[in-house]
Parts: sequence; C-alpha cells; structure tokens
Amino acid sequence: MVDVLWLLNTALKDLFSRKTRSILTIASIAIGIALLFSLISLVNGVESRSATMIRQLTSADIIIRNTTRVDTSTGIPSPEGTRGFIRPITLSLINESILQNIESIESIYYATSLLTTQAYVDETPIILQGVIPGEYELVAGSLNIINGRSLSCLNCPEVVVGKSLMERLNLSVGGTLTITVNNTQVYLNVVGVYESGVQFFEMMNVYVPLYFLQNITGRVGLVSEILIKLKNPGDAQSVASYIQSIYPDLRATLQTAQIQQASQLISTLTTFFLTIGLIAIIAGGFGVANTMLINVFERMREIGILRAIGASSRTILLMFLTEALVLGLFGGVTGICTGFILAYILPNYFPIQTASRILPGSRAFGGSPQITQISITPVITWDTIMLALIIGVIVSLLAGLYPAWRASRIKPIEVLRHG
Amino acid sequence: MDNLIVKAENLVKIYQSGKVRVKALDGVNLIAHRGEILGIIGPSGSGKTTLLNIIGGLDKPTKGTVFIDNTEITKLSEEELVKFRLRNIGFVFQFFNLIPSLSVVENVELPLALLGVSRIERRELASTTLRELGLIHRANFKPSELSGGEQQRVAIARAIITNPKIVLMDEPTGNLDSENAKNLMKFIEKVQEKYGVTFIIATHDPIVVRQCERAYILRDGRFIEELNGQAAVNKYSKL
Repeated sequence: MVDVLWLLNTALKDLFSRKTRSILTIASIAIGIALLFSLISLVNGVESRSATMIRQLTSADIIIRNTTRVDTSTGIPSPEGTRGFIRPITLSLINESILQNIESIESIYYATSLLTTQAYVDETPIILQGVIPGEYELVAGSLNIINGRSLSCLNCPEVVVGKSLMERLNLSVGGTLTITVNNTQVYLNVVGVYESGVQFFEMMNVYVPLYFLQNITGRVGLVSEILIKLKNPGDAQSVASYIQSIYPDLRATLQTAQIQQASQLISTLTTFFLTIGLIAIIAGGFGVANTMLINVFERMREIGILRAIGASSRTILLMFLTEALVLGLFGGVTGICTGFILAYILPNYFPIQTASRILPGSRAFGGSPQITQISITPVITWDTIMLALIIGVIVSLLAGLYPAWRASRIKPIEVLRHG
Repeated sequence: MDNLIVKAENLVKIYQSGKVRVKALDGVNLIAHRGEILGIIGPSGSGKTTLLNIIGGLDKPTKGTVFIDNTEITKLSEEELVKFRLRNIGFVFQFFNLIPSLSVVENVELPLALLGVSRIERRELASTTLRELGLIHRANFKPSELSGGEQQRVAIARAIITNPKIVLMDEPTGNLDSENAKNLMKFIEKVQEKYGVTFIIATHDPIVVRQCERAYILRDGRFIEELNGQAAVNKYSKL
C-alpha cells in the first residue's frame, strides 16, 4: 500500500510539470468557489444586518398593530433610478385605550405604546418615534445614549437623535433640529444622541415624546403600535393568540416571527446564490474532468510502465484521485481568497437599496417612500470557508473519478505493445 | 527447479486481428538459471518481445505454462500478477521509460514506494543503489537532463531496487550508440556480479549477445538453436 505523502508528492510534481494546464484548471474551480464564497458571505452579512436592525427596532416580545389598510388608491412615481409606481401602504392606528385592557393580561410584564410617523429634515425623510419616556425603555430596551440624556417629559419639543444624523447635520446637544411634519415646520431641542451601530437606523429614527407627537400630528389618543414585554418570553405565542382573539382587527406579531420571516427570505436568497455558485463550480468540475482525461491520455505509456513494474489498479486510481484532490484544494483555497476580496468589493458596485413602504400611522404622509442605501459588510465564518473548500474538493474528486477509473483500467501490455 | 529460476514450456501465442491470425510464438520452451545473463536473439517480428512479456506476466500465452521460481505465473490473476511482478520481476525497456516528472532518485525508489516501504528507508536504499552503480551524482536530476546511456542505467537501478529474481530487458541498447551500448553491458555485468540477478535480454545487438552466457535463437516464433553468446554472434551476426 503506497503512502499518502508519496501520492501527494507524485501528484504535485505531475501537476507542476504541466503548469499552464494546472493553473487554468485551478482557475476554473476557483471562479466557482469565489462566486459561491462571496455570495454566501454577503448573504450572511445581510442576515446579520437584518437581525440587528429588527432587534434595534425593539426588543419587545410582542408588537401589536392595526393591519387594516387605508388609502392605497394613489400611485406615486418611483424615485429616480427605480422603476414603475410605488403605492405607499399606510396602516390604521390603534386607540390608545386598548393599552389598558392589554396591560391587565396576567402574563404581561409591561406594555407601552408608540406612534410612528414620517417627517423631513431638509428634504431627507426620517421617522419620528413618539415614545413614553421610562415605559419605552422598560419594554423595548434602553437607547444607547452617548451624549446628553434621554427624553424626560411627555409633551415637550425634545428629541433624541442618532449619531449618524447628528454628524450629517453637524448638530450638537443643546442645538435645534428643524423638521417638517404635515407641511408644518417644528423646532425640537436636541437633548441626547444615541448610537445603535447601524448607520441606516441612526439616520432614520429620531425619538420624541409620544404626547407631543400626537399633538403636532393631530392624533391625540392614537398610537401605531403597542409593544409588550412578557414575564416569560416563552408565553409569547399564547398571549399573541389570546390578544388576537379579543381584537380580531389587530395583529400581534412576535419579534421571533419577524426574525424568522427575515431569515426565511434570506434562506431563499442563500439557496438562489448557492445554486448560482454550484452551477459555476460544476462548470469548473467539467474543466477538471477534461484536464484529467487529457492527462490520462498523455500519460498512457507512463501508466503502462507503472502497471508493468507493479502498480495495482487501485494505486493508479488513487494517484489520479490525489491529483483531483490537489486541484480541488488549490482551486478551493484560491477561490476562497478571491471570494474574500470579491465579498468586500461587490457591495460597492451593487449597493442594496431599500424602500420603506409600510409605515404605520403615516396616514397624513403624502411624500414618496424612503429610498435608503444600505452598505453590507460580508460576514465570513469558518463554516463558509469549510463549506467552500469541501465543495471544491468534492466537485474536483467527482470530476476526477471517471478519468481515474479510465487510468486504472489501462492494461500495460496494450500500452507497451502500441507504444 | 533448484538452479532454475525460469521454466517456460510449450508457449504458444496467437494474436487475432479481425480475420487474420498471427502466431507470434509456436511451442517455445525456455529455461533460465539463477544469476545468468540469457539472450533471446532474433530479427524484428520474431516474437522476442512477446516471449519477454509472457515471462514477465504482462501478457498471457494462448497455450503453455511459465514457472518463475516454482510459481506458475500463467495461473495468476491480473492483480496477483501485479503483486508478483512488483516483488520478483524487474523490467528495462528500449525507451528507458522513466517517469519524466520525477527525479532520478524518485524514479529508482518508485517500486519501493509501490511496496509501501517508508520514505526514509526507500530513499536510503535508492541512494545506496545509485552510489553503488556510480549514478549518485545524478540523483536529483530529471530524466530529461541525462544522456540515453545514463537513463538506461537509471532504469536498471529501478529494476533491481527490489532485489527481484529476474530482470527482463527488451532491446536495452536499441536507443544507444555502440560506445554507450558497450558501457551498458559492462554495467549489466557489474550489476549481475554484485546482486546475482538473472538477466533475460531480448536483443539483436551483437554487443549484447556477446556478453550472454547462453542465447536462444528465435525465428518466426520458434527457437531454432541454443548457443553461447560468442558463438551466437559468430553464427548470427547478421540477424
């Protein structure tokens, strides 16, 4: 039985003796692997980003909304660079009095209400989050205030602004943020700056006291969402079902369900990209098979000599499979390195744009939907690296199987007789 | 079969090509003694290579038997023959047939690698053999960097590295000039003396035949005579 090191050494020397062909074969595998690796890393990035964003939005266990659609009749032209018409979907609001009934449910630890509406800073759309200071933090988690303080009153023109927006507007704590709501200019005192780590989130969301927002938008007693924190998060499903049975017009969504929905979408994306990558790798596999077959035909005499001096058909099979393995490994490693670079370059050329089309409580809003560019940072994990490497090696081995089998069937006498 | 290492009896080999039947060997009987240099002499197409291939277990006879050191190799299966060849038979071909991507020392240690000998041990054995045969200075050269005579000597080193019972050589000087052919035969004598290997050489080169202790004269697939090397040269120098 020949040893592995000898097989590897022989394979390397043979591939090295046919440099150009070997490099081209490695490249054919590497292209597929690079594509697969970069796409998976980017999808991982999107997944990680979306999960962070959902968690940033709220850490409440249940979110209650009124999903009855209103005013979907007006189509407005899409912003420049996008196609067709976008119909802003606005949702009905919830009567704040429901909150008291919901709070009486035994399993609920705390509940608070939230009014969300769209406003403009200059011409840039932002989302005003009207919250009840103190309560909001209990349910949705504290904002990470890095400068100044949190909101402290229920009905005063205070605002907490995201770090990114502050930097863009060149504002500082104690300054004034001028916004436009319902074509009316409103001046807000900047009392604090929060940091979320997600630039998109910091640019979009500013926090104001709930009652102040209700007053300036003429929605007194109305809220967009009721956020619920449970004593035991494990009860989320049963509590959500119970609330929906009492209020059939409302929809109780679990935060886990939102993450699951995003994951499902991402899973579909992953499958799609994985398929594209696999097709590219399979094409590379044909390259390996072709190279290996040419190798076998060119080395017929060499194989005949090896068989004559005592190499078993199994040894010949192993020799060629080792070559396929080496090609797969080199192709895999080269592909991973290239994919690593691609994963960081691609997002610059193909930025992801999102349009916020569902805006709870934006009944009065008449502008175009927000188009925001999100930069995606690829998430590269050992799992992705190993997956890419294993796929490269497996495809290469499968591609090498037939040529290796052909080589192992060569009869020395036939080769030696015919030269 | 005490002193006999090879015994071939009534070997017949018929090739069928479409409707044409070619009788390459027709009732050949051959014996080889331990440690001798035996020649099989004949013109092109006389059946020398076919006989060598059958003795070496590369080909099966249509009829007849071959014993090598009491093992009837004509009864062995394909994979059994592979193992048998690895341990008992060395081959040297006209076109040297070294592996071009491997160095001289790697070519020489090839049969040891196939036997599963450890890397250190096989490198030591190959280096020792190359040193003994005066080739150690070429150990790390590629075959393409050697002369024809040197390549053939490396092929011989590869053939004897496993200490086989017989070494079969098919026209070993066919690609060499007369000076290199003479040097090669001196080299074969040196190897035979040193290692006591039996050489069976198919050739029509008088330089080789002269060095053979015995020579079978083969014509049209039949042995027509058995002579010593010098007598064979004198009688059949125009073969």
